[in-house]
Amino acid sequence: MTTNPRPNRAQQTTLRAFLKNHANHAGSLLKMSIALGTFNAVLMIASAYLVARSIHLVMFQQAELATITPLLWPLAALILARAMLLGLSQRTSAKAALKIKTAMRHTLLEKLTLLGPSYIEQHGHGATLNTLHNGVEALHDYYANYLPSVAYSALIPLAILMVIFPTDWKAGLIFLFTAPLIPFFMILVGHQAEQLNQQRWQKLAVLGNYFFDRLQGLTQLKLFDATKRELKQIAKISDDFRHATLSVLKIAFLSSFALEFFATISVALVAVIIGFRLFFGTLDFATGFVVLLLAPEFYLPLRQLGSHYHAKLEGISAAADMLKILNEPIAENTNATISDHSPLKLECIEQLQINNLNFHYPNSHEGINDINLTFAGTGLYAIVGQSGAGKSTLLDCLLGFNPQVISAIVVNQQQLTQPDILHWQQHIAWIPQKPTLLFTTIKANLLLAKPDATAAQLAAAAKQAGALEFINALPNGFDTHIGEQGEGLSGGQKQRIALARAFLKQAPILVLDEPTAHLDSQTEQQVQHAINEYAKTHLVIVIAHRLNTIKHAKKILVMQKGTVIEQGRFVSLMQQQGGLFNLVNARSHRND
Amino acid sequence: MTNFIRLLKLCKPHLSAMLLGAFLATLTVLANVGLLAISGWFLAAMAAAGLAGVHMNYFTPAGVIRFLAIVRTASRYGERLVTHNATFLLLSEIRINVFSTLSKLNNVDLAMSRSADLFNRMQNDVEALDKFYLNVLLPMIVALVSVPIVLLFMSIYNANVALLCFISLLLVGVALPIMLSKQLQQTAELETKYSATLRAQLSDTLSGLRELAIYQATEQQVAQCRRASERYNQQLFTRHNAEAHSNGLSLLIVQLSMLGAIVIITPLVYDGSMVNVELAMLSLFVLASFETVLTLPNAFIQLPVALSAAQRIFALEDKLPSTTNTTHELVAVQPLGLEFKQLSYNYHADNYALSNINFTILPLQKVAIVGQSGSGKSTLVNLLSGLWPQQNGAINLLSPDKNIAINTISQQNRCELISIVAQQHHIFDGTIAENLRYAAPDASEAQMYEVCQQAQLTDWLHELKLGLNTRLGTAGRSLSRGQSRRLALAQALLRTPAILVLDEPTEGLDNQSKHLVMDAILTSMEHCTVISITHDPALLANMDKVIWLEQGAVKAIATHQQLVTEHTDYVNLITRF
Repeated sequence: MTTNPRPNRAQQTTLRAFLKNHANHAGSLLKMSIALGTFNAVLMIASAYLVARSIHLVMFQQAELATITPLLWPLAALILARAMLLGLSQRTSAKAALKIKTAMRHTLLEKLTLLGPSYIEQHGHGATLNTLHNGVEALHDYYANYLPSVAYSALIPLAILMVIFPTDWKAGLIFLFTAPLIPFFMILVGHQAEQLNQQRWQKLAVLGNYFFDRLQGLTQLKLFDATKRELKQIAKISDDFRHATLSVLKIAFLSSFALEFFATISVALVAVIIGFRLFFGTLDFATGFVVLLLAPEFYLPLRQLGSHYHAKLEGISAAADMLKILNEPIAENTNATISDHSPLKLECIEQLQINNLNFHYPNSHEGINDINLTFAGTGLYAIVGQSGAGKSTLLDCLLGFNPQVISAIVVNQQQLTQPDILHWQQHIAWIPQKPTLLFTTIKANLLLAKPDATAAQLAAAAKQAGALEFINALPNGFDTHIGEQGEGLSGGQKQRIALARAFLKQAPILVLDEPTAHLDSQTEQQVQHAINEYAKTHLVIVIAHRLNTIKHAKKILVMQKGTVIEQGRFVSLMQQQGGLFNLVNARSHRND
Repeated sequence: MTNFIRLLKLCKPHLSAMLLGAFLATLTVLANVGLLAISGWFLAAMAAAGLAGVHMNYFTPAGVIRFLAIVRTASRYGERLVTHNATFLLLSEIRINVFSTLSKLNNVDLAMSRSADLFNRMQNDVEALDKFYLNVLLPMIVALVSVPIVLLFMSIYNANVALLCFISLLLVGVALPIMLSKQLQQTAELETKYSATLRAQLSDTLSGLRELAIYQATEQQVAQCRRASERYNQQLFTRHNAEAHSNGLSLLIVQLSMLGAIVIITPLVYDGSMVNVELAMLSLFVLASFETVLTLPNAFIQLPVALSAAQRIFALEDKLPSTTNTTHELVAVQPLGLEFKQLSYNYHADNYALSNINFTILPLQKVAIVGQSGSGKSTLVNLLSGLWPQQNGAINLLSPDKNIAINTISQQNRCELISIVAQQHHIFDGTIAENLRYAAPDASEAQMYEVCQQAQLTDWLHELKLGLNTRLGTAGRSLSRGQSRRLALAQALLRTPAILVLDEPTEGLDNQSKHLVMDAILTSMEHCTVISITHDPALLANMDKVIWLEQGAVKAIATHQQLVTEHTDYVNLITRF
């Protein structure tokens, strides 16, 4: 369920146009489904004629079974054809919806990869995931049911009128007379009930939320000894909700009441009027019976349209989230200098410089200013600072996730340009604080870093990261599927697999963000040791949270409010009693 | 079957509303069937009378037609209102029932180790049961009542047609749906699995965009997602396909039975053993009779879903301990100490989370517990809460005059004596005031403002237009980690327990407010015993002693100063920046 406010009329038009546009992925399928469905209706009209004719012959022409058999066989054939058409039409529209959904999901995902991680962080991982997963699925009923039923509500009554008029223009007039009620019904169903309907679903969501929220916080309620009170509250809220909803429903159901009322009364009216015309002999029975058979079918598509109403709303609300993603402009390549210098060539990293780097996220005060740093080709560099000091932003810039400022990075005296980013990233291995392990086997996760790695290389990297032992202890070893065995792996184990993945890449630069949470002591020591070893031959840049890490660092960079305020080795910085000193002692001494 | 009966028992309190709904629904269906049949008869009779040139009383049937049209529409409206009312009644009945069951079970029976899992399952199950009446029970009652009535009327005219109709009704209303439901159940499992896979892969892609870029694997992963999406949708298509086939088959059966009725009746009309008008009437009657089973297919499809949901919920209910009237000792709120004696606990058979823990906390002492992850700190808190049953060893409350085993007092009394601020603190969907009142139902507004002040929430409160009436939680404002921590502490400050247990109280707080909040807590808790899991040196320095756990055992008990000077490991453990 989306949390968007209800789109207004103008927005709805935009959204409908958007959804219609996306139907192009399966436009022909959708049209075919509608054509099949309409053809089914035409056959229905034909079979009504056959039924009426047969009954007429038996009733008034004293026909025996053999006489009407020539009519009944085609009727049977028509019925068979209709059954197949109905199945086929529904199948086709489902197929169309399937194609559209897959294409939509793909388009959204591609756009999101272009928008980059900061967009997802701003809009919430969960909400974006919901749009991609449930949101796209919510389109199914819109395309498979609602859109075809819109077409039917126009096409089928028209087909019936076209057949009835030549047969009996007076009967046709009756239909035509009630036809103006159709747009009236449409307005009634379309707009008046809409708001009420929306309210009803929102209220349902509120109640659902309340209950499931309390269920989620059950342990909390138990700790407060509040479960008995809450039980009463749930009963009360449910009851309030029932009363409120029913008073809304009383009105909301009125619209469908009116629709049903007019449809039923019209059918009854048609029956009575035709009855009298038959009585006075101004109409033959076969025609009259056809009209009676077709009368309910005339209004049926409209009534069905009403029942797909919710599918429409859901589809449109879901579309709002998608449109927002697709309309989001991609960060402009402000610095799109035509690369007049040669493309990036790196054999090894001798020196890495950051020159005069400034970066601010749009709509945010946080950012980094005047960063000038130099890293040698090997050694462990630790970045420390309070949260919000700009450590992650600095790393993002270094890793090339903010292409606008890539030119601030100079490698081996060579300034990077935007086209270099892909190549640059090949020289970096990176482990975030909470590494992402893909929903596949451990092996596939490791191979991400080096698709052609041998089993021996996998084992070596795992060993280096202190992960080999527990991986081998798993029943399926490297082929263990991550996430399938319930909880799967512990935080420390995931960390070590990510580390193994990074080691496997053997990139000249390893960047990592140390986990702040307390891993168990053994894991911490193993990881620490592995990283120190790696730093002997590679450049390692780490956002450090632990004393042990910075003690061994070649250089510590202390950040505060977006700038680097001091740098140096642990002992000398502690002696200076500056930023690092304060940071390390902030928690040991109070009120100073 | 037993689950079905138990479900029916749940419905019992709202029987009258449900039966009224079923009555109106049946009335609607019958009026509709009658409307079509009588219209057919009326038309035929009028034509016959017209041809024969005889007079006919057309007022009555014309009136009946109009009357049935009105009855149908009105009862349909009434039915929708009444059945929705009954649905909501049942909905609240089920929710209260589930909630009360869950609130009485301990966390081991709830398998709380994977609470997200439990929660998701509960949500799906409760939602499946919410519509039990509307989608399952109602169509069944309607069919059970209206089918015999319709067939009875039909058999008055012709028994063979009635028999044919009965067989077709069974096929369309029961046989086809059961077949379809079997098919759907088979695909449902794969569907859930593929859906979960797709979700996991999409989630990986979103959260791992940076890593994927670094490993140049974005395209590969997007393609992976596309394949998962296609596979899931293909699986969904199997279902839609089965439904489309079933719909086609229903149409075939319905229309063929009308054809069959014509074939049966024609010779009878020909040899004069049946009035010709009845042919028109019966053929429409047969067609309309399928209205009685219109919603039945869906009921058979929903039935297994509802039953398996009910089974899981009833299984939890069966775990409820039979209420024993043991008289619990009542301990008044007073300075209490705690004694842990040979306490052990294991979540899994051979993996002890705590083994042989022994220590004593004197009344009014302030004690810290430190340790790496997995050292057993949280298990200790879990055991104190009483939501996890004790396995081995004992926890005793020490009062000046006697020692009481903690598991001999009632849960209610225990909650009163021990106040726990857990690490996974839940902020409820409701206002700030409502959240605070969960901790202390009778708290006045002034008291609430006071504790918010102590928890350093005042600045934030001033920013909020609605103050204490600002909504929080899923439907309201989301809180930062620090704010949610401080709100939890404010809740704790509203209570006056004998023992206060805090799990990482300062995590997520910035340095400035951390000290102020801790000061406030320590001052206002001068009159109670405090146990706090923490790695915050500022807080540790203020504790009377520190208990250092490692791998489920006590590694050291000493003051913070002693540990700092004697153990470098300890300094490494507590220093994070």
